[in-house]
Amino acid sequence: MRKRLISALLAGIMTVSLLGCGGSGSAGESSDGSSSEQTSAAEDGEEIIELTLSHNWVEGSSGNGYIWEFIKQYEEENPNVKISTQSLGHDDYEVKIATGIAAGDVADIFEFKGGMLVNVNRNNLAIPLNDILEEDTEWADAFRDGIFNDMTTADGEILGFPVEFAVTTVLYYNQEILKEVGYDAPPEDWDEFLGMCDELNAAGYTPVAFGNAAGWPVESDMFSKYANNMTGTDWFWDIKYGNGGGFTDPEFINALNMLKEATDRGMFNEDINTLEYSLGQQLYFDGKAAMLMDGSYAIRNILDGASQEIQDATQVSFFPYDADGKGEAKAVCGGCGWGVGINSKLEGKKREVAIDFCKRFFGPETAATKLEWGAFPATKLDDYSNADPLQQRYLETIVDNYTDLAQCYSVHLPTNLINVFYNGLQDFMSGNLSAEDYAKEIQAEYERTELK
Amino acid sequence: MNDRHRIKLRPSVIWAYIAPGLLWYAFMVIVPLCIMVGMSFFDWRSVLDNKFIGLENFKELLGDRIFRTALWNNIKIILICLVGQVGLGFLVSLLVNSKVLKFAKVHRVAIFLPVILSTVVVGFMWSIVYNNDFGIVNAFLRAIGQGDLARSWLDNPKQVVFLLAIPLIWQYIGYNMVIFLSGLQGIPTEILESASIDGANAWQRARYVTMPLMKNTFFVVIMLCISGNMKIFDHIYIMTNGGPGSSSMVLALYAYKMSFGASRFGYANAVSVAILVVSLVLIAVLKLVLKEEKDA
Repeated sequence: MRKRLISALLAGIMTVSLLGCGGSGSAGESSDGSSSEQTSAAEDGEEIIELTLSHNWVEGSSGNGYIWEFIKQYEEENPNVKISTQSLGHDDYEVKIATGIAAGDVADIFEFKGGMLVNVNRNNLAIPLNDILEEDTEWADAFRDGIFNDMTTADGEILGFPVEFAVTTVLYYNQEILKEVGYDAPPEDWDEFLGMCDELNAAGYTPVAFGNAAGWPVESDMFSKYANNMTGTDWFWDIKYGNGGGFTDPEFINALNMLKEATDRGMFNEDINTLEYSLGQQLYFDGKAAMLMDGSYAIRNILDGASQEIQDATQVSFFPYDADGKGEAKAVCGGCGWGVGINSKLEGKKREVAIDFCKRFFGPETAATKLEWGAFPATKLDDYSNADPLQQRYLETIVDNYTDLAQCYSVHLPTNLINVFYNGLQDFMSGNLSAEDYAKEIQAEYERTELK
Repeated sequence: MNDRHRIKLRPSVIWAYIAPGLLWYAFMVIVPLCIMVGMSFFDWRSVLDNKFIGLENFKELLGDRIFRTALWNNIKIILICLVGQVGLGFLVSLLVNSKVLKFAKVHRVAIFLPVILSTVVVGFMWSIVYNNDFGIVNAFLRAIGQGDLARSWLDNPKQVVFLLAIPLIWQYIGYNMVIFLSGLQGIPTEILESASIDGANAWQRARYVTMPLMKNTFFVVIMLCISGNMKIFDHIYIMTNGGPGSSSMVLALYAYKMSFGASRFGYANAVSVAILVVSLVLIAVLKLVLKEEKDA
C-alpha cells in the first residue's frame, strides 16, 4: 500500500512538473515586453522582421559593450524589428564561427575574422558590399584608408563592414621602470632595445610581459611586425594572393630568427608559452614587467585592470626596428581584424533592414560612442577630447604617425594555414624546431591552401 | 532458475523491446563512426569544399611530427596511469578494505570525491597548483626555503606529460578503488582465513590469494584505463592546450585542433580513425596476454 502511495505521489510530481514547464514557458513569453510590442506592431499591419546577430562582444564589458545599446536603440526606433543575439567570448566564438562557416550555417548578420574570408567567399555566405559603398560615397569616405583590406577578397569584393580599427602591435612601457635603468623611452634600434632588456633583467624586471598559451598573442601582437620589418609589405600581399614568394624565403627566415633572438635573450617572462593572455598582461599591471607588446585593444584592459599609478606611468611607442630589413620603421600591423557580414540568404525587407542596421552602427554616426566605450572606431576621428588620457596618448603617438599599415598574419591568412603556424610557433620558440624546418612546415601547408 | 518461472517471449517481441535502444545506439555511435571513417578519405574543408583524396590523409599522418608526438604522449600517459591509477588504486583498495585502517568510510569518501568533480574544474585547479606566481607547489618550496626549485612547472617540455598525468591519477584512483573493492568483497573470507591459518602474512595473502582471484577485475580496470586515456582531452585542453609547443599534445586534442581550429575536418577524422585503431590494437594485445597467462 505504501509503495503504491509513493508511486502515485511520484507520478503526481512528474505531471505537475511537466505542467510547470509549459506554464513557465508561456509566462516567459507574455512577460517579455518586446513580444507585446510586436503584437501591437503586427496589429498595425506591419510585418515583424526578426534578425539574428552572432558576435563576440560581451555584454557590459568595456570596449565592445556598446553593441547592446545600439541594438536596444534600433529596436526602439523600429518597433517592427527584433534582433536576437548569439554572443560568446573571443576565443570560443572564433571556433564556433569558423565551424559555422565550414558548415555553411551562419546567422543573418555575423561577425567573422579576416582569415575566414576565403571560406566565406567560397561558400557564398555573405553579400558583397561594393554597391552599397559606391552608392553612398559620403558614408564610405568616412572610413580610414585601408580599413577594408581585411575584408576584401582576391577579386576585390568587400564582404564585411569593418567594426573597429585596431593596431595589433603597440609597445606599452612603464616609464618609471625604464627610468630606473636609465632610459626615458625604449630605443628605436633593435640591438639597443635588446641591450635595454638585458639591463631590465639584471634589475629584476621582466622586460616584456607576454601570455602566449593560445598562440595568437605572439603571432598577432608581435611576430607580424617583426615579419613586416624583414619582408616588407609587398612580399605579404604576394603571399596572400598567391602571386609569388614562399615561407622558405630568406626574408621570412630572418623574421623567425628575430623572434628567436628576442626569446633567447630573455626578452619575455619564462612561462610565456603556457601563460594565459590576460595573465601575461597581469604581470605588467602588477609592475613586475617593464613593457607590454600588445594590441590597441589592451588599452581597455589596462584601464580596467591596472592601478592608477601604472596607468599614469604607461606610455606608448612604436616597436623597435632592425634596419637590415625591408619594412618601414613606423609601420604598424592592424586593420579591422573582424568584420560583419550579411547572410546572402536574406532577401527583400530582411536584407534591407540588415543593411540599414549595419550601415548605422558600423559607420561614422556611432564613432564618438565607441570611443567613449574604450573602442576605436573604423572611421576617421578628429576629436579625441572624449577619450581617456591613455587612449589619447595612443591616438596621438601611433595612429597619427604610422607610415604604413602592415598585415596581421592571422587576419589575412586562411585558418588552416595560420593553425599550422600556431602549432609550430611554441616548439620553435622553445628551440625544439629549427627556423628552417618550421618554415618548411608552413610552406607545405601553404602549397595545399586555396587562396582565392 | 526454474523453467516454470521463466517468462517466454516470442523473438519479435524481444526485438521490439531492444529496437529503441538499438536504434538510439546506431544513430549515436555506429552511424557517426561510419561517417567518420568515410570522411577520413576526403580533403573536407567545408560543405561545398571537399574532394576525395583516397589514402592521402593517412600518408600525411605517418609523416606528421605532431601526430607522432601525440601518439607517444598517449602511450606514455597510459603507462604512467597503469602504475598510478591501477597499481595505486589496488593498494588503496586493499588498505581501505583491511581492518588496520581507522575511519575507513571517511577515507573511502575522500578518495572517491575527485571522481565526481568535473574534469574542467580539476584541470583549472591543477593549473593553479602548478602556476609559477601563485601556485601551491612553488609556495610550498619557498616556505621550506627551497625557493630556487620553484619554477613554471608546466613550461618544461621534458616533464610536462608526467606532471599532467598526476591530476589524472589523483582524480581516477577513487574510481578504480571502487571497482577493486567490489572485487575484493567478492572473495570468500574463508579462503583468506585458511591462508592466514597456514601462516601467510598480509603481503602473501594479497599476492597469492587476492590477486589471482581478481584477474577479471584487473582486466576490466586495465581496459578502462587504456580506453579512458586514449581519448583523454579535457584536462590537457584546460591545463596546457597541448603546449608548450606540441610537447603535451594528445590524439584527441590534435583531432579537435585540426577540425575546429584548422577547419581540416577530413584530416581530423583520419586522426580519429587512428585513435580507434590504436585503442583496438592495445585492447587486443591485452586480451592475448591475459589469455596466455590463463593457458599457462
